[in-house]
Amino acid sequence: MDDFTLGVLTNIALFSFLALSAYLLLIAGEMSFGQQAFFGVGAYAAGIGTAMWGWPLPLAAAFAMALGAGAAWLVGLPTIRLRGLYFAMATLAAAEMFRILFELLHYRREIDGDLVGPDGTQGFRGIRWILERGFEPHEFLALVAAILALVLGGFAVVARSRLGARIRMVGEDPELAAVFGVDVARLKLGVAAAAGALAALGGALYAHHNTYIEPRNFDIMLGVHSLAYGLIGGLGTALGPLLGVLIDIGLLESLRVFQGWRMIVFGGLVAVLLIARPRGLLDEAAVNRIRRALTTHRGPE
Amino acid sequence: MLGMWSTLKGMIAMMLGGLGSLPGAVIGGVALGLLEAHSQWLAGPQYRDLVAYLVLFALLALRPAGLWSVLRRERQAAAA
Repeated sequence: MDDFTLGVLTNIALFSFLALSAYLLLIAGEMSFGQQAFFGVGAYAAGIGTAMWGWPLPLAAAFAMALGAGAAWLVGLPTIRLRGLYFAMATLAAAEMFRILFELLHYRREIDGDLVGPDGTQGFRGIRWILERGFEPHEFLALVAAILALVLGGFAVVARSRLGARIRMVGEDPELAAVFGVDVARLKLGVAAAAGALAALGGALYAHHNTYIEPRNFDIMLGVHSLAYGLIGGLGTALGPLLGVLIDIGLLESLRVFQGWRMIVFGGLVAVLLIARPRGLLDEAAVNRIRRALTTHRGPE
Repeated sequence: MLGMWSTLKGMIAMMLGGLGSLPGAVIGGVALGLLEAHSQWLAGPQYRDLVAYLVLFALLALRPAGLWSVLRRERQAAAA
């Protein structure tokens, strides 16, 4: 496999974390335009951990996830009871605040004769833990894919559990869920914190893949995309947002045919799908149909 | 991303004033303009957007119905 293909595949895997983070909130009934902020928090925290404090990547990633969950919890605390456009605007405002705070963040330290660390709008370069440990691009891709597979496994377990049923119930009808004794606000806050941790994990890996991050990486367009991945790919299964990432990064961004047309095709796709299939390509009905087809094929047990 | 900033400013002004209210949109626009001009003058250009987003976030958390609803309630209370 050449480096370009490896890079595209790695990017697909990395942005899948962000797409899953937005998807998690979508199935709980909230549209967040702010998951890119926690992706950024994770990227900065893990970068500071490995490049400045000399931590190993697993520790830095855990630190990033904790910070991401904490930040998402803090943002969610006053806003989680808002609905629809109000929640979307509140998370967007919070995410832009985070981006501007990254622009104001100057924390540099001399390491091996070089000044390393976030330098406001100049960005944060030299996050080289992966290179210094001698990881090859395909090894890093395997690492990211393995972590993504673990996360998807987690989603599959939760989807079958009572917790998963409660999350979908809250997403579809919060009043009904409350009648059945679900603490809607608390559950949503927990989901928001988990989604923040997931986005931060993706951000931590993203920073180490790129070795350079800047506040502009985490602007609104990233948030719009992460939300659109779930809406295009489908909300019936955790594979839906992955399909969305695959369509956007795998086809539109990487194929020369679509050069310059990416945003037009992407925007058009979102518009058409919102009318034709408001819950995406792999919506609940499609997932059920596929599941039924697979079980009848196998025959009665 | 030529149109992004105007889309965002319009959205912020609308939400500040109160979603779905015509006087609210005007009040939100005036409030946003004053706020941005003053914070830029007092603290610098990077803080202009920070303050605008901070106020929007705080207002959505505390009074999601917007500035116009707060003003109207006070006027009704004064008239009664």
